[in-house]
Amino acid sequence: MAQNTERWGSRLGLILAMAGNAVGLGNFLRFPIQAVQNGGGAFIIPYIVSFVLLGLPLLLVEWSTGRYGGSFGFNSPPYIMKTMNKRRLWKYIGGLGLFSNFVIAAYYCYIESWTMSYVYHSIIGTFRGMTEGQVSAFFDSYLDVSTSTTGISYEALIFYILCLVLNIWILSRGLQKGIEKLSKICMPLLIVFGLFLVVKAFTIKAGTDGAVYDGMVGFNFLWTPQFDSLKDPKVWLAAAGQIFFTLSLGMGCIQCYASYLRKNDDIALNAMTTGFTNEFCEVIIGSSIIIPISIGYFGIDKVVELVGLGGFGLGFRSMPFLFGQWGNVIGAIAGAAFFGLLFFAGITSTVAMGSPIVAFLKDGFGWERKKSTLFFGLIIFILGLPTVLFFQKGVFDQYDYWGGTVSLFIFAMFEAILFSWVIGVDKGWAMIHQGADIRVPKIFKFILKYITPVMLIVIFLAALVKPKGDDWSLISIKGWELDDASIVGELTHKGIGPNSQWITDKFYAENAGTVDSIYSHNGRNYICVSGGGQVRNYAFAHSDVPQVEVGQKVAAGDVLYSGRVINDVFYVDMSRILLVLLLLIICVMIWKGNKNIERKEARL
Amino acid sequence: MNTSALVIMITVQLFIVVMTVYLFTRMLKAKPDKDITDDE
Repeated sequence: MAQNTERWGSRLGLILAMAGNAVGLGNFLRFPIQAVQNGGGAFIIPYIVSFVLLGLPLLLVEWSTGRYGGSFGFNSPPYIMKTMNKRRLWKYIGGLGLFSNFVIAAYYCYIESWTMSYVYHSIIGTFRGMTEGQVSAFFDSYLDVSTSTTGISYEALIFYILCLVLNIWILSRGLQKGIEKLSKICMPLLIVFGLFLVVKAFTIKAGTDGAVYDGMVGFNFLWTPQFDSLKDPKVWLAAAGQIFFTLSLGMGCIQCYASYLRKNDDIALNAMTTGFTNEFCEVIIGSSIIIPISIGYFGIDKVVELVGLGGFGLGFRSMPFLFGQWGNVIGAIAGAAFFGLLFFAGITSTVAMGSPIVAFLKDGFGWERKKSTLFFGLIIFILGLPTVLFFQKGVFDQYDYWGGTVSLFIFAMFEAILFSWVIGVDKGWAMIHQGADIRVPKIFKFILKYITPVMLIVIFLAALVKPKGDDWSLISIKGWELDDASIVGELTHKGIGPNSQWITDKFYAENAGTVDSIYSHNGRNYICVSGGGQVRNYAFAHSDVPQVEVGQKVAAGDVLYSGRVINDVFYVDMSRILLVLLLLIICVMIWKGNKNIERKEARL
Repeated sequence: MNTSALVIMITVQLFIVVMTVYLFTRMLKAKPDKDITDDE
């Protein structure tokens, strides 16, 4: 058996590291959007229900299986799963806990680097005096690596590399001097910065600093319940999904961190404390920043429109402008605080993602930590480059979907079944309570066995065959049209439209309407087509030749321009091939590592 | 702010704050981690 030589320095350090793993960008950018889009104050009902039926049980499962695997000297998901059941399948299921971390870390590090850059820009006053449109355009130019106009060439790439280097350095310093120390600095600062912004949001007064509405208008909007929404399965699915992502379940990071515990260290109280700390950051702080502040300045209608762009839209395109309304000094402090807390939330999560991979290389190949962290950094740089260079082409969405969504659910589904049905809930219950400092209410034993696994299976099936437009009334025995974003829909490129070839010589309109304009912006050319409430701006290269004129009516499928056209579907499919390759390589490495472990065990 | 929004906001946030403080307090008061060897 491998010797487990690393341990957490203190209980507080462990809790803050685990909370850091859970608390991420989603707490501040995803949760408030989900709440607004799914019933406001009423959303909290399915959210709390999911926390009790899904969140807490899975936390207990992951903490206890992690500690169990750690008692055999293993700290990585594949070999932790192997200790739970000798069947070959389980260590490969555990491989999903490596796959998702590689894939998510690759793009998450990139987003984290945006927050790092925005702290810098907030402090030096880049956004000072900018209009809302200019702040939004700044974000576009920042993402466009080749045509950055922010004064630093390839700025996005530079910050990305800086961020990677920081992550590698922290990981290489180990559990106590790296991860724990980071968490002890970042988590308290995150809470302080967050509370500062919450107070600012609460105290927004109409007519002061350019605010149109009181801050309370935003809180009112967010928390006013629309009880009708509770009849919509989409809302319950959204709540379950949010709980899942916010607690970082199904990733293998919790198992990894918990594997550094001793066999009689408490997990029941630790797991619950971590869960509630995450909820504190999400529901108390996360819900109280971007929505109330933006409604104070933009009003409800505009924010509802902006919310459609997602958390990134509000966070990076609007918030710097809004902070600027508070004056140069407070505005800079607020910007640094907001993007600083996002950065802290991000980096504590990415080091958690690196940990199972570093542990895997130790478990299976005996690699020491510095070598493993460099390997981790190199791989996520290679994997992450396509998201940096081809962000607008759909690469990011593919990573997020397969690595950051589907993989997590599959892993969580299997681990719940393994814990409650293969090992058995009686044995699992005993594992949870070994060394426990708190008794988990007995109802959770029933929930673990019957409710949590079934909920996960139902959510997975619902995602697999989601009906068009999330309209669950369409479900019938005779069949139904799938939503483009269902798993089957995604796999089959449903809704891809007329530009379905990888490389071709013509590009076709994807919406019907009138050609509003053909223009240049930041060195790129665009054809703008608006109609039916949709406005689409199609980018084309200098060598491409427009086949339409301004004022011309076009139908979906009409040729817009000709030239050497590489459609987004090419980048999407290349990403998928890359992800499949990654999964296969991981499986081979698990197999090879397992052989090494068996050889070592035979010698002992 | 309307009543239902206020009630939900205060109830939920109070619940989370109370539980977080309670759990942290219990954690800090709990017995120190047992001193065992690494060898199992």
